[in-house]
Amino acid sequence: MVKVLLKFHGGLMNEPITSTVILEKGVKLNILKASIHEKGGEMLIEIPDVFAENVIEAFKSKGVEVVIKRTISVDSNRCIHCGACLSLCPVNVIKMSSDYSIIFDEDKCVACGLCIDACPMKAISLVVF
Amino acid sequence: MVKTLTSNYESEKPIRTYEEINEKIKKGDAVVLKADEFKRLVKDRGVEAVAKEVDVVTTGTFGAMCSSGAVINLGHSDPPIKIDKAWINDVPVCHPGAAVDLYIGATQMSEVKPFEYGGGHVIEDLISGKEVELKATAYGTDCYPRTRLETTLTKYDLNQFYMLNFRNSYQKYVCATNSRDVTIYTYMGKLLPHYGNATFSGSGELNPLINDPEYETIGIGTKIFLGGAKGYVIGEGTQHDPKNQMGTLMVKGNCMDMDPKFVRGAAITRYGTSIYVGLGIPIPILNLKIAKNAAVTDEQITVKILDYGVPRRDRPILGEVSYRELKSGKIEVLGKTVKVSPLSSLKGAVEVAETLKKWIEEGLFYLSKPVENLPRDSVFKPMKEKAIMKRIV
Repeated sequence: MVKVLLKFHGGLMNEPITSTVILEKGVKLNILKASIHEKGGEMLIEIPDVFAENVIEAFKSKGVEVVIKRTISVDSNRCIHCGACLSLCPVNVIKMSSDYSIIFDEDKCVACGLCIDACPMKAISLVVF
Repeated sequence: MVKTLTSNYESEKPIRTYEEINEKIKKGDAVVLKADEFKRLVKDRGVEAVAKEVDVVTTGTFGAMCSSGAVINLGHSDPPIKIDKAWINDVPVCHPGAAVDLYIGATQMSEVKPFEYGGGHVIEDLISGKEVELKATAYGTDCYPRTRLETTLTKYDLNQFYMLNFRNSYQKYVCATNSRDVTIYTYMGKLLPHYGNATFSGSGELNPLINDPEYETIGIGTKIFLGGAKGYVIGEGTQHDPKNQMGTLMVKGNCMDMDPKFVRGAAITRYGTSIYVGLGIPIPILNLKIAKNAAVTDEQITVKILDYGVPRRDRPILGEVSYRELKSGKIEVLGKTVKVSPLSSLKGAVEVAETLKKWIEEGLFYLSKPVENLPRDSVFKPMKEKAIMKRIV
């Protein structure tokens, strides 16, 4: 499961955005925490790994700010660029460049953690902000 | 028939000898290409022309090689001990011979941190110059009275520290996937359910043995790159299976000179610990046949896709795939497009071949002629089991 914080700013308060995304994507979300204040609202949700990229995009397209609470960190001293992690990433954050280097686009990482135990060098860890 | 014989004779006609190549290395004029560069040049200019110009092709691989380890000699304590059981950093090490010779097996796991730290990590730590803790027990004899020993060591305290690997550098290896409903963790890595991904090992066209499939230049005594130092092939590896293009090597090298960049302890989740070893072999282009063999490309090297969801000796074969497809990151398994992970470091393999090329160009590495060829017709047999045991399974 991927944990993300949704920030609903001012004008979005009157629309049933979360329900729309759930129905559109046919996804079951866990709502862990929700709060409303004068400037908008915040909601902490969990998304099943395979839906993560789609659901995050859907919220963003409706003007919701999405903050991913965690990401992976790669220890470059341990990584030997084997690529054991490559086929496990559901959102294609991990890529192999033309010189066979393994590159992580950490900004796009949804912190599902699937790659972590695939690493034989134990070079990948989750970082919580 | 006569024509074939003539053409074989022609292709085996010597272009250059080991001695001539070594003379050129000495003068600094040897033409050395990495295997990938050689193949590109052959594609552009044809094998005949390239074979005339290129003296040596360097190969490389950098992958998990479980049947690896290191022999160490500790020197004698006072009073002396004939070690019975020993541990280094809580990893049990084998005591196969006389009093203070030990073998650190790569897959032996720490009794305190199993699945996290093992023999491979001990070897890496020692090569890095780190201090390790040795504990040993013995039953005590008249000549070796001591029964317990605890000390700390670095590689500089050892008399010998050799890498001695009894199966390394597979010519090629299979591609693994998983039909089960659950994720499985295997020596071929993490395999997602319902053929959710696939993995492969080896570096394809950069692999040493695949570039000399008839073992004409690789044999006992061939000098190689092993773990960042010079090493030697000392025979065929265990499970050597030449008829299925799955030849293997037994190798030896001096760990004192190795670089931890090319020798890495590994922890393969729920399988155990292992070691990644960088290994490269120079192939002398002695004749046209050797050049043609070394021109093999990823498209021409195919491996079977096996279902590791079935934990039997003969796993179901789901198809065949080339290293070119494997290296593209996606393959087809039963009509479905599946993401695929290399398990060997392709970047590391290129670095091995590149380093070896540099050594030869700089006159730091000379080629050695094998004193005996590797077997080309041996068979890899299954285990003989008692019939009753088969029924229990």
